[in-house]
Amino acid sequence: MSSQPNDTPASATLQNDAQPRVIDENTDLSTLTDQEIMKLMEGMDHQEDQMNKPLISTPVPLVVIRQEYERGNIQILKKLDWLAENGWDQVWRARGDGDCFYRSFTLAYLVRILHSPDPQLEANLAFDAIQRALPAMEQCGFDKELYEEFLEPLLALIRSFAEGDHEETSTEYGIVQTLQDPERSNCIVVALRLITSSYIRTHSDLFSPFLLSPTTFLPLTTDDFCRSEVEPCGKEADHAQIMALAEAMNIGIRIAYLDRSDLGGIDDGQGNESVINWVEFGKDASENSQPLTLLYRPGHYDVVTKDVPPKL
Amino acid sequence: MAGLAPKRLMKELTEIQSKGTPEGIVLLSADDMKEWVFLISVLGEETIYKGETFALRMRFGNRYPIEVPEVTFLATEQYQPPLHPHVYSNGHICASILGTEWSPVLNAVAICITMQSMLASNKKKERPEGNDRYVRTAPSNPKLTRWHYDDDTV
Repeated sequence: MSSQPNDTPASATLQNDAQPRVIDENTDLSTLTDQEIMKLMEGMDHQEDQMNKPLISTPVPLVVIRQEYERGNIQILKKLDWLAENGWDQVWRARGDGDCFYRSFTLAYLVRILHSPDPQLEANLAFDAIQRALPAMEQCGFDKELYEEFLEPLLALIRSFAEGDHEETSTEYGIVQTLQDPERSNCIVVALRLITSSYIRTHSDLFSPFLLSPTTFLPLTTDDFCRSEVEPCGKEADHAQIMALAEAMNIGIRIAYLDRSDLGGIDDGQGNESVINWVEFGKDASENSQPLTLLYRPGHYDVVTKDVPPKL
Repeated sequence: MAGLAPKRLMKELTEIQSKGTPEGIVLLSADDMKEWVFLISVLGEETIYKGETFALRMRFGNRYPIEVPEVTFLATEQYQPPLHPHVYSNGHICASILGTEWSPVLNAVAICITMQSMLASNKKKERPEGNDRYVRTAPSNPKLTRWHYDDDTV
């Protein structure tokens, strides 16, 4: 979103034979050169790069993420190693366009149904949970026809699990492919944003102390927060949104925070020592209840899972 | 699921035709599902725009309503953009709901209402700072401009 044309004359700047490296959420910020910082501040290359990436990708081994940090922060490497040692070996990347939390949620939500012992039952429970989130949307004054239209692609996918034997939802690959379709993926993002918004709006007393503007850190009214930070596409989700969506959809979410903090080893809630900070949302995020598991790196969410052998 | 945009616009149009538009807002033309023009005037005696009518043009892309339409005031012989600190003389508008705060639950009439109230709350007829410089270099599509929203009071 810039009016500046992207054509730096080749002769105008110092020539550097080295290919410009890819700067993304994994880049150690302390290694940025002034030139790279300038480029990031212009925001163009980065954004254009992002917009060419798939909305959500088939999983890459965690090792790939580790390679990106090889010369980076030691705490982050320790956390990645811990994840690997504990079987978290796959990362499903979401496009970094501000909707990554909602897209990661959708993928993890559908993959969870796929790998549950009884996908049909799980799909019916999911369908039911969504139906129970609808009255709040109506209560908040959202147009029924409108949110039903946005919800339809998600409901259709869940229904296809319940019916079984649909190509789109019978494999991980099918799910990823379906969620790479921009129209469907965007509709689902909007639907999830509306569910999140109406949960926050109908539980204002619970949320209002935590509704701050992410840019000014000043408190916002529930209405302002929902209108400016939840409902528009491209606005990052923070704790309030994640908590609201987990509660509204009645699902546990565990997020592994890949930051530079040194935890030394803490109880991960399952009685194991963990060097990574898992933050839990929703009523039951214990591992037994198969919560959605996301990987957070400052400003970005992806899905992290343990590889599941395909069913025969 | 093909064609969310035409379906949604058709629905909006039917609603406008059956229920009408709020006072001070008139749908001037909607020849297709790509471009609509509304006339907007500010109601009441208090307004600095008394007796003036402005034409607001919306261009809808294929990704509407996920993406915001391109919205400008017309600057033609017949219609001039309002003199307002958020409206440039080429008709481009700096308003957060036309940028980062657009939400797919909004619609064409909601944009008109926002523009109407933006005009209604204004007390000073003036162009934005740097109007001439902006108009000289602005892209024809205001969505390509990176806006900085700083003042919600006018």
